[in-house]
Order: sequence, then structure tokens, then C-alpha cells
Amino acid sequence: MNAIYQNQPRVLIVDDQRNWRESLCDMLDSDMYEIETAASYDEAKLRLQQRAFHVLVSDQRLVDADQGNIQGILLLDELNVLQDGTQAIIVTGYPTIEAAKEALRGRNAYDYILKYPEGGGPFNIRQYRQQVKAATEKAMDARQKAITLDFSLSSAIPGLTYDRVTEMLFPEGKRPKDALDAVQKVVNRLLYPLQPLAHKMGRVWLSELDRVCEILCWSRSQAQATLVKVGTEQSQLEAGQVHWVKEKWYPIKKKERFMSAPVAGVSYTIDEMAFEEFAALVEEG
Amino acid sequence: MAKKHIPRILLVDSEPKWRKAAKAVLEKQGKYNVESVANIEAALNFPFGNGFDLILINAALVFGENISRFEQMLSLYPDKVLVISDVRSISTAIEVFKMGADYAEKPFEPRRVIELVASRLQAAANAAQ
Repeated sequence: MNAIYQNQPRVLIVDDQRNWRESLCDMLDSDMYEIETAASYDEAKLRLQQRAFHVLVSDQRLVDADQGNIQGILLLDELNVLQDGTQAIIVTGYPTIEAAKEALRGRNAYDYILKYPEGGGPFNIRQYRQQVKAATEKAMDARQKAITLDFSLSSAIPGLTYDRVTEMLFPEGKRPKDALDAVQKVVNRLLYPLQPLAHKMGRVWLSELDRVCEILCWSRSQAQATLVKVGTEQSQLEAGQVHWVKEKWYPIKKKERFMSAPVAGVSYTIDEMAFEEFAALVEEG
Repeated sequence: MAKKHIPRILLVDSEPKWRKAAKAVLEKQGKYNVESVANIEAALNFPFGNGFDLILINAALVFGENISRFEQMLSLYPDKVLVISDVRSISTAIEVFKMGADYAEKPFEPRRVIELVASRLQAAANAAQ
């Protein structure tokens, strides 16, 4: 097993009130989770874009001045549950039945926890810890499924695994701790939309050049192909620098050659082969 | 000619007076088929026919020892179960939503019974479109 898989589950705690933000953080075992915090919707959104979290714990009302706001619930729209498996727990001191429904049924939140329990008494720390733990487990299951999905894809594309792509992008010794995670996120984001296409019409094909991974998606019935690239800035081997470029779909005509566009400042050609060669290679898979 | 579908409604509540009153009120509308039973077991053993379009079930009958029966009901009638609770409780509502059902306060006035059923059926019809 790759060491990166053994990382602690990550939790993002969002609350505009500092005391609650800190308490919600302190109540969780810091040996068990890697915890990040955010004080506003925008800050949380940024964090969610940077990394994948197992669990999002968010206050419902992130703008104090606006009584009816449910920004914390709207934050769930920023999650990509399909690829990250992130589970969300809404915590609130201003519960309403409508907001609870919006969170739990409308946006599939894992739980809706009251800061001040209905029957009186203090915040239920035990329930909070229990639910964060259970949500983490659910997120891990969901991720495992996403990875399995990716591996089923990799059976069609020999060599396309997260580990492989990570190895390609980050040379041994210069590999940041969260490299695999960043790669997973990026690769999933580009493969999910392509997957149905690949299953229906053709295959996804992996080509490699140093520190740039290119995936060529090919649709025979539509005679179109697209190049998807994952790369890092050569000078900055940081996980945060992993990015992807999806080029538009190109119509394929016979004898047409595929040329890659510059990625990360390096210009090169991935392959120059004629339509028949290319088709044969893809089809024999 | 297409026959107009008459919505079938099932009331599940342990209080006989409410069952009788709510059934009478709804039947008087002349546009619903209404059945009523006292507990969830009877609801599940009901000869379903074409099934129900809406099930109103009291919150007191769905948790605790009845939870697996309630899950069974939800799997038989996804999106058709409305849990009604005698007293307004956000905690109960949260549990109901987490199970995948909907929640409302139990209607006691005849007007509220009619409104609730009509709005639920309308919402379901809108969702189906």
C-alpha cells in the first residue's frame, strides 16, 4: 500500500464565529484527523478547491448580519461528492425544519446537528464526534468506490492508475506528501466526464512524457478525439501546481496527425501517427 | 378514454378518533380513496393493489423497534411517505429527513388535513413532470 493512502482523514471546519470554530476543532482528536478551518464561505470554497476533504463541518449561518442565510448549506454545492466522497455535517444554532430539509434531502448532507439541543442542555460533543467519525468512514467508502471505478477504467487503459500518474509527474525524492491526492483529484475531474464516452465509443489512451501525462480520448462513432493533459510546472514540483488542460474536441480525418500543444512551457509532439495506425492501436487495446 | 387516476391515501395512526375524522374529511372531498390502519405492521400487510400515492404515518410509529419496518415502507414507497408528528420537533424532523422521508406537523383541523394532502399530491405531481 502506498504510504500516501495512510494519511489521516481531512476535515474542514467552517464557522464565522471564532469560538465555535475553535471549539468544533478542539472537540475532535487531532491525532486522528488533519483539520483545517475557514471563517467564511469564500475562504471555505477556496480550501475545497485546493484539496479534497473527507468531511466538511459547516455552520449553517455564515453571515451574522443576514438572519435567514443558509450559506453553510449552499457550500455543499461546492463539493464534488462523486470524485471526493466528501460528507457534510451542518451545525447550527438557528435550526429550521425547512433548512434541515434543504441540507439533508436537498443536498444530501450526512447530518444536521443542533448547537443547542432541542430539549435543552449543552452541545452534544459525543454525538458530534461520533457523526464526524461515521461521516469519515462513509467518505472513505465512497472514495474507495471511486478508486475502484478508476481501476476498472485502468483495465481498459493499461498503466493508467493514480500511482502511475503520480510517479510520472513527480520524480522519486521530489514527491510531495500529498502528491497522490492532488493527482487523484485532477485525474478524476477529467476522467469522469470522459468515462461514459470511453465506454460507449472507444478507449482512453495514456501517453507519457516526462512530468506530463496525456490522455487521449477517442470516439470512433463521432470521429472525434480529445487530448487531456495533466502536468506540473517544471520549476515548482508542488502538489498544488498539478493542473490539467482539456483541449476541445477535434474532428478526425484520415491521415490527420495528432500534435500536442505546449503544456507547462514545454512544447512537444506526443505522437505522429496516421488515422489507421491510431485506430488500430486504440481498437486492439 | 383514459380513466382519471384517483389518488389512494393511507393513514397510519394509533389514534382511532383522528383516523376516523381525517378519513371522513378526505372522503368527503370525493376525489380520494382513503384507507386507514393503526400501526405500521398493518400498513405493510395491507393488500396493496396498485399501491398508495401518499402515506401519512405518525412519527410515534416509525422509530425504535419499528425502524426496520419503516425502512421497508420507504423502500416500497420512496418519496410517498410523509411522517406526521403530534408536536413540532426539529429533532424528529432531522431524523425523518435522514431516513429519506418527509416531515410535517400532524394536521388536526379538517382544513389543514385537506391542505396538507392536496399540497403533497401536487408536489409529487410536479416532481414527476
